[in-house]
Amino acid sequence: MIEIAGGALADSGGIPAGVGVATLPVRIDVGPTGTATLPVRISVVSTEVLSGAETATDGGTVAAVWGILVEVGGVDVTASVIGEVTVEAEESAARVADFSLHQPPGTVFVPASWSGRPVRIYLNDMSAGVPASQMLIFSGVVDLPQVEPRGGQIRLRCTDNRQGAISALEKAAVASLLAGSRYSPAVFAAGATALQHANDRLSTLASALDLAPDGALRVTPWAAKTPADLSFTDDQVLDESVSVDVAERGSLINSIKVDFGYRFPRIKAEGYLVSYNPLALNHTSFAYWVRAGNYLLQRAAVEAAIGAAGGSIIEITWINLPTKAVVIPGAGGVPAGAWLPNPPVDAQYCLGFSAVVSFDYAQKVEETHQITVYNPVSVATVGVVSSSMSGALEGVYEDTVAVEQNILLYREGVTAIPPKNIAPVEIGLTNSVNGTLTADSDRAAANAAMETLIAIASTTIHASHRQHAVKAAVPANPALDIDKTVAIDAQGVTARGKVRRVVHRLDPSSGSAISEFDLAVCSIAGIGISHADDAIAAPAGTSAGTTNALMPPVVTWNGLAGQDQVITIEFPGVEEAERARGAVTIVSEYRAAIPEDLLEVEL
Amino acid sequence: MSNTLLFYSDAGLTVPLSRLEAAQATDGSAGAVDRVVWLGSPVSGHAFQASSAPGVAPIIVSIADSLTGLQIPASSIRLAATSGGLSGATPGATLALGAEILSGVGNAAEVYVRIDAAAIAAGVYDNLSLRCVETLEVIA
Repeated sequence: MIEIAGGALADSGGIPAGVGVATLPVRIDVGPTGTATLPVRISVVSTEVLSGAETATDGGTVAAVWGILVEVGGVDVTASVIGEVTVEAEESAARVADFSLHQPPGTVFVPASWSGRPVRIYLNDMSAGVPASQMLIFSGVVDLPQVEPRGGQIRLRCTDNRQGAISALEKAAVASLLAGSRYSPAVFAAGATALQHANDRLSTLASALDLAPDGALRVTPWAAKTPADLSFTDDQVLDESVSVDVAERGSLINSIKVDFGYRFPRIKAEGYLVSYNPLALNHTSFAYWVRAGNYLLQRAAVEAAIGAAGGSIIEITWINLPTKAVVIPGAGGVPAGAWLPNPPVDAQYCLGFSAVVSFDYAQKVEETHQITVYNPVSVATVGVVSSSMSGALEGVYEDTVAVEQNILLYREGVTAIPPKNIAPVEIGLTNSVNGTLTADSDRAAANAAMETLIAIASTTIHASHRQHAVKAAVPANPALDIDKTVAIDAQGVTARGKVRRVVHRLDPSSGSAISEFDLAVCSIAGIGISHADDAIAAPAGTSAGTTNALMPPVVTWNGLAGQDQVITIEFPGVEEAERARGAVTIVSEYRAAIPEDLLEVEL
Repeated sequence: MSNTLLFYSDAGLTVPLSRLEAAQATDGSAGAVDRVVWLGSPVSGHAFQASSAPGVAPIIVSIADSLTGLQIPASSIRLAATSGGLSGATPGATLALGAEILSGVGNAAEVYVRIDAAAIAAGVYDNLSLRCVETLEVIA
């Protein structure tokens, strides 16, 4: 087909098939190109410097010659540094650096040009006249620039952005990072931020979460390592810098009572076997029963009597009337007549029955778990110093009245839709099953909540016992950080513990370069004392199943000649304890171990 | 407008990373230093594709070596897309991140880096860098 002016068609003849213009939009994305690059700096130093056994600020028998390198926004600003540069790191907190920079007169300060700029601080060995053994002691960003008009300097407070780094993580990443921690939405707020989520998990784990000087997220167990990463003696420790702070008794929490309530429904069924045979009870036969003018039992009346009592027929077996003629004996053995079967009518009657009947209902169960988490050695040493915490969880289930109605309708055959839960009938017993709850409120969720609370209590006890502090100062040592275990034997103090806090103070103008540190020492009974520990597992709750042997039902039928034919079936009433709220108290104990760190002070 | 694809130190893409740092021992005895960095852009609604064949060619991160004098070799670095992949990664090998990286927090590509230098003289070595192929920034 050829398109020509006016839309007419010129072809070999025939009927025109239509006019159209085929178009194909072409999208061309035009954007900037670029190449992302990330320089890598590898500082290679001696093993001794890397481990902290040696440091540029401690020359031993000769004077130490050291220097710092401060970069702001990738620019070396070391020459502008005024006074002391401090870098402070503390467990599970942001690492901060503070320093001041000289600014030439007339410099105009613009906040936006400082906040957020990357900052790095290094310590160098300058003993050879050139920077060597470069060790990074801080990397982060400017958090708060401070100036005074015409002051000639700008003071920078910098942070390693711990909060931002953790806040940006997915919660799954936080969980992976804090392996071994516990979590329960029944204990912690489900809508918590990633940072709060991390703090929640940290409350269940005896570890610290912080950033290394190079900015990497790092998890460090509280327990001191053996052997220690760094050891200091009088040769390194600065004169009169050692001090010991012993935690006061009242802060040594060694027993925590955890109350946890768990409410959930339990679906129950009482199973009865109802058997009734009036001929057998009267020691007679069908022929003599009929001859006496007694009545025949109506099946509908039996079913109505069971229903009137509130029961549901699970199954029923009838004793049928004879299917053949029965001779009715008369006086002297002479037949007085005959009873003739009438099948259509006889099917409405019976000579007796045997029925399995159930009574279904729901019960609210309330478990109160009284859990004690404690450290026996600490209790024996300083007496009970207790605290408490609590939690609760309610199983999410349908309205129990509606549940009972649904089961009744199903038992009666009114509906073919089975209830969510139904207890199997056990004859002569009360049987039960637990309701199927939502995943965040079922037994597993309750167990997770209790285990989380136990873990929090255990961590709290550990935390309270590591409040003893040994403080000291040494020549500035970049390897001395809060992931390290330090052993100290100086100025009458022998101790080993994990570094809780370190402050590097570097003042190029005065030549002073020191690292102050606090050791967290965990101690209650002394080295060599072992602590028993129980694995964290939720205490067992109550179980569903058979609970109560039932009294037999009583059948009364006025079926003798001249009586009113009323049949009554009386079942024992449901016991209050089976139906009313089931309150159960479950008591359990867990021993929480703590490590014993070395702490000896010579007086 | 310049291309906004950068390496970041955090998953929230709040702090562009200007340099990756590691300390190693002269005798090669120091443990490996593992880091994770994020390659992405905080702007919304953009995508990054390898400019050599946009949307087709994979975005590749390689280890560039300026190769001047006695330096730390590129084989001192391993790259992987997961933490668990570092052990099996080939030293010095590139890492392919797929044909496109979408911008926005949560879409950045994680790049796991392991630095493990052999024995070498003391010093500060800046000869290595991670280099992403040239990318084209387009509207997603």
